[in-house]
Amino acid sequence: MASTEFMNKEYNMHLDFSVSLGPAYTKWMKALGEKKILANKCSKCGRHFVPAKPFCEICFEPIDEWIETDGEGIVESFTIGYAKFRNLPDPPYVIGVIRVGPSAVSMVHWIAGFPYDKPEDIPDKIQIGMKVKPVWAEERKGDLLDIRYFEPA
Amino acid sequence: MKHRVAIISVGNTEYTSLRRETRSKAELAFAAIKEALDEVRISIEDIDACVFTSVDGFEGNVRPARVLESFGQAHNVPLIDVNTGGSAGGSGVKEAVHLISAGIYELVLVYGSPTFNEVVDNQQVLNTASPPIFEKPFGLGAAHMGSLYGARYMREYNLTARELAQVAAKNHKAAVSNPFAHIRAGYTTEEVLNSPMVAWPLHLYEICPVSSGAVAMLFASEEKAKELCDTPVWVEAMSSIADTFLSGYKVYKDFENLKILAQRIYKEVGIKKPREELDVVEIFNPFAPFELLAYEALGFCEEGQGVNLMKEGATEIDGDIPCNPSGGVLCTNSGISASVTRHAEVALQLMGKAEGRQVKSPERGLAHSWGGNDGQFHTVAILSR
Ligand SMILES: [Zn+2]
Repeated sequence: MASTEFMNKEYNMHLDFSVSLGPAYTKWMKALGEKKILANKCSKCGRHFVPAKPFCEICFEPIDEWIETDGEGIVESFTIGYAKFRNLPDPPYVIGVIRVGPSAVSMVHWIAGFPYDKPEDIPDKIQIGMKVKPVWAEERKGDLLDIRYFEPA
Repeated sequence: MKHRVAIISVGNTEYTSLRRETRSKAELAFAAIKEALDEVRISIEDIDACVFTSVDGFEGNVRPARVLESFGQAHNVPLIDVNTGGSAGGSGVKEAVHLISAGIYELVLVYGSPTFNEVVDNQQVLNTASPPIFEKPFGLGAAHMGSLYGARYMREYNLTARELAQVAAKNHKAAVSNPFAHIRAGYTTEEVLNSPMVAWPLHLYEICPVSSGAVAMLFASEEKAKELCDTPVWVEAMSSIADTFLSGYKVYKDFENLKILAQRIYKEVGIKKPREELDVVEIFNPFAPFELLAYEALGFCEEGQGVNLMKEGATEIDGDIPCNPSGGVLCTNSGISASVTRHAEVALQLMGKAEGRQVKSPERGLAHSWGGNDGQFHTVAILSR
């Protein structure tokens, strides 16, 4: 006879990793520590990249031309997290897909630093296509989080 | 394809929520596979290979297939593990189709694992699939990835919140009649709009649930299909596509790579007017906007016209291009099981066995799956009676 009793057992995995960034990402991350957002450029197709790339996936050639951008970006899309999930930021938070300077691709970062009264007002404060600029952290260590967030420019 | 390939049976379990689930992962696999085998009166040792599909690392075990005992290992059946994110079910089907069309095997089992049925918080686990240095820290779960498409698409084509809610309500209405759907509450447009905002612009009922349940499918050579099955469904074509992984690289106003894939596969089978030449479609739609994006990429209407196609009723169960008569992934998302299910649903429709959700005598259908961070992967299958 089948039993109607059942139980759950809990477990978790706490795992640690360390990743080698390679020279291109290292150069890009270190520049963040100096409040600079660099782009690099594929000399074959002429596309710029923020974040920088070690090679162009279309041309399949290494990239070694670099420029410094003014850090300003355009919001390509965004979402507002209103629900709390484990290990994810406390709501509300805005995740933007932001295209910086002449970049052909976008990067993901937070959009913040704008006034609002109630959380439900946030969708009216941000528009796709709006200009944003980085707000830098006081203490920087060569990391994407050296940019605290992007704010409306 | 070199040799014809048929789908000969489907095994489906009931679907429920994680909190209500009383069956173990092993029991789910056993139940789905046993049903698929029994349907055509064969035993586990009769299969030539098993394709297991899930997403590595989402199951609380990086290699879940190895600890289940349902795939014929006791009879030394080869076990193939396929993972392409959410589209792994489509990729698993593709693997089975290739193995048979190449003449290597005659009977291949595809199992879609209930990928999320151990998670305590699904978004936490899905966040681990984001590129760890560049995107993971920002709190992207699957719901947020879906919302990035929703926000851009709505803005691009002036889609209103109500129109998006109507897409969700269409699926919720369909799921009421599907005995294998998880959420069968039939939420109306009003109820969708009044459900909590999870990740703007998506409300709770515009986002798939986390379901538990599993599906198995049996694929056969022409000879075996005719021997074992009265209602074989033939695989006319099966193809997949991939692009770059980062969420930041997407443009979010269309499914660019699905459009390319659809053109490739339509050319292969000679489909010129998909809306007229397909009778039933299952789209991978965990988020309401995806259904509209897919209508357009699959060529059922022009860009930005998806909402009008839906409003005309064309994509309802009695419309001229029924899409997701099952209620889709939006009402039942048992992880990779859901991407195998798109194929199982179309096969059941073509067999005339889609209890409660049967489209009127379909001849040819399309099954779609989607996966990877914001749609790196898509698969499309064209199936016919
Ligand atoms: Zn290039």
